[in-house]
Amino acid sequence: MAEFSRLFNRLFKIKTKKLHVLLFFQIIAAFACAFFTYYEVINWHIHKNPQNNVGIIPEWALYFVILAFFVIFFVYFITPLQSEKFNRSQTWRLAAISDGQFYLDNVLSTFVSFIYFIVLEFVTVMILLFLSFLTDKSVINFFRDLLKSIQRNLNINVFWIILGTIVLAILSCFFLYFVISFFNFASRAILDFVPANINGAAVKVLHIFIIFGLIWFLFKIQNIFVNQVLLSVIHPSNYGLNFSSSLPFAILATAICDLILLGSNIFLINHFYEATEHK
Amino acid sequence: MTNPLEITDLVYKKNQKKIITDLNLTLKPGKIVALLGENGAGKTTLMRIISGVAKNYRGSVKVAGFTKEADRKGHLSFTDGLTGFANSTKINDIVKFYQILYHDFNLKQFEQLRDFMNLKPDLRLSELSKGMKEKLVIALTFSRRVDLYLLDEPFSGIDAMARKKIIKSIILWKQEKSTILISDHFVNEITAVLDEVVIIKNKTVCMQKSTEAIRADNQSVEEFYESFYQREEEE
Amino acid sequence: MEFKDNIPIYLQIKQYLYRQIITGKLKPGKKIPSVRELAVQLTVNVNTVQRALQQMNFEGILYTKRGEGNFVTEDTTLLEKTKRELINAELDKFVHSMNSLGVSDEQILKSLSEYLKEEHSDD
Repeated sequence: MAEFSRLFNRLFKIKTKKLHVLLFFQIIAAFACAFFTYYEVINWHIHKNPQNNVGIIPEWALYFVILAFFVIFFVYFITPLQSEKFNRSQTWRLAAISDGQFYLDNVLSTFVSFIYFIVLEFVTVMILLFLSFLTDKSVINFFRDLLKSIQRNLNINVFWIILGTIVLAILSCFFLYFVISFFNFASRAILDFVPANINGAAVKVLHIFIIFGLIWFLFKIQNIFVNQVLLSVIHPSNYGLNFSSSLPFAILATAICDLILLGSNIFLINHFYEATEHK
Repeated sequence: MTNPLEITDLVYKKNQKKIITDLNLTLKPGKIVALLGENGAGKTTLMRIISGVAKNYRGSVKVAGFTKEADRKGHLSFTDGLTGFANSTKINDIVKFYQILYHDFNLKQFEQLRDFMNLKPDLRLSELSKGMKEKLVIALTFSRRVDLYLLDEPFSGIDAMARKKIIKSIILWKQEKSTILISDHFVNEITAVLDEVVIIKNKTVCMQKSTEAIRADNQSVEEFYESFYQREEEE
Repeated sequence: MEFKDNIPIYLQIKQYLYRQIITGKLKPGKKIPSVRELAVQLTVNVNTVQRALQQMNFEGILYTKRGEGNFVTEDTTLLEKTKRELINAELDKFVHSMNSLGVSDEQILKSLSEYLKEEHSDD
């Protein structure tokens, strides 16, 4: 267990290092956008843009939020791809820990670093908003109205829907990680069984074909599994229940798919998926 | 005392091709052993199987009595090409990684080895020549306290002077009970430090013999090794 | 020190140590370097050094003080004997190779004394 947490810490540190740099650039970029909206450059002289009626700091916060959507989306897809590098690396796989635990460490650290990044984004937005409060009265009014309308609409149902959505988002996040690993592990494992007498370029093409084959296979399985097996077994109406939304069912289905994928990934990394031999 | 390495009936296939067949090998504690065989004979693969990074083999592999891969990895130290690090990584950061990953990593010992090999701690991986990198790998590998050290062609990029220095460091830092397996495709420079040679041919171990027994037959270790491959050419 | 690879190294280590003792580099009653020091110095295996020292202990030319290491014997007759053996071994080799060149024993004696006279008159 000590090995597990030490490895986790190391992976987390390495994975968040680049995210800090990304956040820094996002802040700079948002400021640059705000600056050029707020000011105009005419004949090498800087003038205040007359059409703009908000302060530069609220502008900054706004651009930061807009960029945040893209950046978080980018990080969401890139980090699981990058973490596959660790699964393939002999340097990391030599750690005195079972491969299944190593894989869990890798996935968890990717997830936690992603959440950490979202928290950082949130904190940055909060700081920028706080600065806006200090400089701009109209922003305060806007948020007062927003809070009021939230309060009015808040009831226990909304709370459950929000909670359920968060759980589903987390499960979907893991689903993405597990699917990417599954394609990586399964295609490599199949590639290791293919007879040796094909050359380098053909192997790459074959690899892509295998991945497509796996995607098709997974799609078929998922169709049959979710629509026919899961729906018939655990459909709410079977139990005389009638939910207002399909959220609980979606959570359950995703959780089951996650567990199946996780199980097969751990099996693959323990018994088939090798670290690269490249020296 | 348990043997640092016991392999029985090992078979390993990749891409439907047999790379290792029916291999048996036992190493006793406290030995320095050469694993000899031509390029592509399966020396690296064998070491990867022992370390648990090559998968899907048949047969049993025991390191210090342990069969589970996690335990095996905890009781052996394998020279790794450090490919898991970015080129901009500093030696110090790699050392941190080793300290965190291996609880038996001895920083003091590493620092002594590093000084012995004249490596500066703030150098980056990209600044190291092939020989310096190999010295670093050996220093890292020997800074762990384990029963079995696996050195995969540790001298390939190193000139004769540095090679002698590394061999001396091995003699100096080797614990009494630990065993070292050194793979290479030629043998001449290290013969004086070897207890045994293990020769791999035709995908399996074809000979394991003590070097002093070879010399007692008025044969040099090099001649002995070459005779195995010459016989094949004559056939 | 370079070792021949077709003769057991423990024998060569013994030869090396005999020489060190006879030439006085290792003095009677004095401690010799530790096994590991010798191994590093000669770049040979520790086990091989161990074996050589064990045999020399057995022969009596070395003796072990527990926890301190190996010491050269102070037994002068044994040291003399060792020296004689070493000289005999060298002579053996010399005579053997002369004989194989077809030089008879009497001729060896004659050639050697002439050779020594010439060599020493040069000094």
